[in-house]
Amino acid sequence: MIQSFRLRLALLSALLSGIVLVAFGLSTWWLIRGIKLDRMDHDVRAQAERESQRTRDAAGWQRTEASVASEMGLRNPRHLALMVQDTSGQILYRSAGWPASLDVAQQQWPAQTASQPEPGPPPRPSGAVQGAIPPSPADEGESVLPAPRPVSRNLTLFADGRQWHIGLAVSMHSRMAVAVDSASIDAEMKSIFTAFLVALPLCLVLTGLGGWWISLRALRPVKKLTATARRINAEGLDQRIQSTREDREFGELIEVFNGMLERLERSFQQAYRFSADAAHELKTPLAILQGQLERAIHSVEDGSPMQAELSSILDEVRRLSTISRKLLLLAQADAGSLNPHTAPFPLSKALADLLEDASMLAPHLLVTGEIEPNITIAADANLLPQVFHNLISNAIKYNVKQGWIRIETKRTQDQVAVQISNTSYGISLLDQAKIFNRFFRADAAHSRKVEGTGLGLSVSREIVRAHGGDITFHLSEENVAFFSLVFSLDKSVPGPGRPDLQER
Amino acid sequence: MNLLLVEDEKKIAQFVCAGLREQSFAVDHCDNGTTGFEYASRGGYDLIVLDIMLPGRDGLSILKGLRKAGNATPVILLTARNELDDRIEGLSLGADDYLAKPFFVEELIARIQAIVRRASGDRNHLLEVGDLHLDRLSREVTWHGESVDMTGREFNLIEYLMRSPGRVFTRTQILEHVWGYDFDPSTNVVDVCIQRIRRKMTSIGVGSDGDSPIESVRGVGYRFRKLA
Repeated sequence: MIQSFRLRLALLSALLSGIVLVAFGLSTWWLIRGIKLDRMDHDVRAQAERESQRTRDAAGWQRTEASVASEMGLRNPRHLALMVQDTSGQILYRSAGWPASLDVAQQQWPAQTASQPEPGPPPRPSGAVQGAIPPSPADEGESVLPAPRPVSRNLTLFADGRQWHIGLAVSMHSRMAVAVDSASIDAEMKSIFTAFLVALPLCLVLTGLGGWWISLRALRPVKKLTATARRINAEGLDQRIQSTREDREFGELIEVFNGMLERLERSFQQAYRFSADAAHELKTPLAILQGQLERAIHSVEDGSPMQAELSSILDEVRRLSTISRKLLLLAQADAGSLNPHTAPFPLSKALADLLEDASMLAPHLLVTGEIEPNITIAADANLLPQVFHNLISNAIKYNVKQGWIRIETKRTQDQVAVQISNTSYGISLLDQAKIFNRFFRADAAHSRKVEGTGLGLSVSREIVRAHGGDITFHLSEENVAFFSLVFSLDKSVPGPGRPDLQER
Repeated sequence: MNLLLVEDEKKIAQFVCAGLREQSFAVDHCDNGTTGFEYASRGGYDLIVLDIMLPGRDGLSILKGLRKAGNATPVILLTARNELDDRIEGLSLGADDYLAKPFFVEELIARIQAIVRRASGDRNHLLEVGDLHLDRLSREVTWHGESVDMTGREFNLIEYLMRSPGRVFTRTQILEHVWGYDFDPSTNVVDVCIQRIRRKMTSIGVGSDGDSPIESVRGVGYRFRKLA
C-alpha cells in the first residue's frame, strides 16, 4: 500500500473526480448527439416539405441538392441524397449518391389525405430551417383556400451499413425524400469526444495537484507536531507547538498536546530534581564519612584489626558513593543535560590500559586484543573510561571458566568501532532486550551471586550516546557476547590532553 | 608551602586541614565565600582549594574574580553539586584541577603535589626511595640500578605509594588514584597489580629475597617501606 497519506489523498481525489468527469462527459456527449439527431430529423423533414411543393427539372434538382446541403451545413455532399417522385411513384430525380439498397417502400410514405390535410406533427417552433415558411395557422380563418400543406414524416433506415435519417414529404404534385447520413454528425461528435479525452487527463492532473496542495495545507499542523516531537527527542521536553491561526480542530489537538508536554515536563523535572537532590544530599555526608574514615585508618596502628575493620567500612562507603554518582549521572542524562566535556582522547592508550586491567582482573581468562595505535577521538576523559570499565567488568563477571575476552578496534574513514567480546553462559532473548535497562540484572547474575548494581550498562549507554556514539549488544550462537561501540574519529589534529589527566 | 582552604562544611574542613597539615602544608581555612575571596586576593598562597557551593560568594565567582584580577594562584575546585557542568565551567574559568566529593585527602594531596611540581617546571621529576628510582617524565623505573619494565598502571601505583613511604594506603584509595573513581571497588585488581610489580622486581635477580619495597598491611592495603 502507499504509505504517504498525502499521496493517497491526492490520488483519491483524482480518482473520484475522474469518475465524475467521465460519467458527466459521457452523458453530455450522448445528450448532444441526441439533440443533433433530433435537429437533423426536423431539418430533413422541413426541407422535404418545402421542396416537395416545387417542380424542377433534373438540373434544377441538382442545384437544389447543393443548396440544401449548404443550408443544412453538411460539409460532405455524399452525406445528402434526394429523391423526387411524382404522385404515382415515378422517380423524377434521384441523387447520384442515393444508396442503391435504400428503398422507401410505398406504405412508408405519409398518406396524402383529402383536400384538407391533417396538420400532421407540427413542425418544431424553434430551430426551423431558414427559408422554410411554415403555413401560418392564421390563414385558416381566411376565405381564400390556401394550397394544401404537404404531409411529412421521418424515417430512419439502414443502407450500405450507414444510418440514414430521411424526411419524407408528400405534396399535391410530388413526393420528396431528403436523406442525410448520420455520419455527418459523427465527425463533430468525434471532435467533442477528442476534446474531452484531452481535457480529462488535464483535469485529473489538476485535481491531483490540488489534492496534494490541500493535503499539504491540512497536514501542516501535523507536520508541526512531528517537528516538535523530534525536537523534544533532540533537545528536551521544554518544546511547545506554536498554535498561531490553526483550524479549530487542530488547535484543539495542539492544545492537548502542549498540555501533555507541560505535565510530562513537570513530572520529569520533579523526578530529575528528586534524584539529583538525593544524590547531592548524599554526597556531603558521604564525603564526611569517607574523610573521617580515611583519617581514622591512618591514625590507628598499621595492620591492627581496627584498621582492617575501618577499611572494610570505607569500601562500603565507596560503594554507596559510586551508586549515588551513577544515579546523578542517569538523572542528568534523562534531563538531557549530560554534556560531556570533550577533548582529544587517546583511545588506543585507554584500551591498552583496559587490556592490562582485564588480564590483571581475570588471570584465569585468556585476554587478547587487537588495538590499532594512535586512535584519537573527541571524548570526556572522566566519562568514557567508566564505559570501558563497566564493559570489561561485565565481560569478566559473566564469563565461563577457561573463557576468553577480546578487545578489537576497527577504524574506517571517519569512524572507529570498538568491540569487546567474551565467552558467556548466554542470556535469554527476553533478557537481551533489557540488558541496557536500569537496575536490570540477568537471572543468572542473581543465582550466581554476581556483584553489581545493574546500573553499569544503562550509565554506559547514556555516556556513549552523549558522545554522539552508539553501543549495541549481540549474542552469537556460540554464546559469545559482543558489545560494539561506535565513535566518530576526531578529525582535528590531536592536541595535548589536559595536563591534569597526563598525571594520572 | 601555604595553602588556603575555602570550605563551609565544618567537618570536611576539619579532616582536610588535619590531613594537609600532616603533610607539613601550612593551611588557612575560611568557611564562607566572602572572606575566602578576601584571603585569596591578599596573595601569598601557593595553592587554593575552593569549594564551589559556599555561603556568601560561590567558588566559581571567587575563581572568576581572582583570574580577572590577574591572580594566577593554582586552584583546585571541590564540589558536590551537578559535577559535570561545574567541572566544565570551572576548567574553562581557569581552575587547575577538580575533585568531586566525596574524595580522599590523599588524592587531594597527590593532586596538589602534581600541580606544584608542574608549576616548578617538573624539576622534581625524579623520585627516589632507597634503591628504587622513578623518572616521572620518561616513566622509567630502576631497581638497584637495573631497569624494570613497568606498564602504565604499575608505574602509577608504585609512584603513588612512593610519595609517602611508611604510610598505609587502602585498596580503595589506590584503586581510585590509579584506576579512577568508577572502578568496581570489589575487585582484587590492586592486589594482582602489586603481585606483578613484586614479581617483576624479583625476576631481575638483584637484591636479596624479601627485599621488596612494597609491604602488605593485612586487611587494609599496602605501604612503601620506610627506610630505617
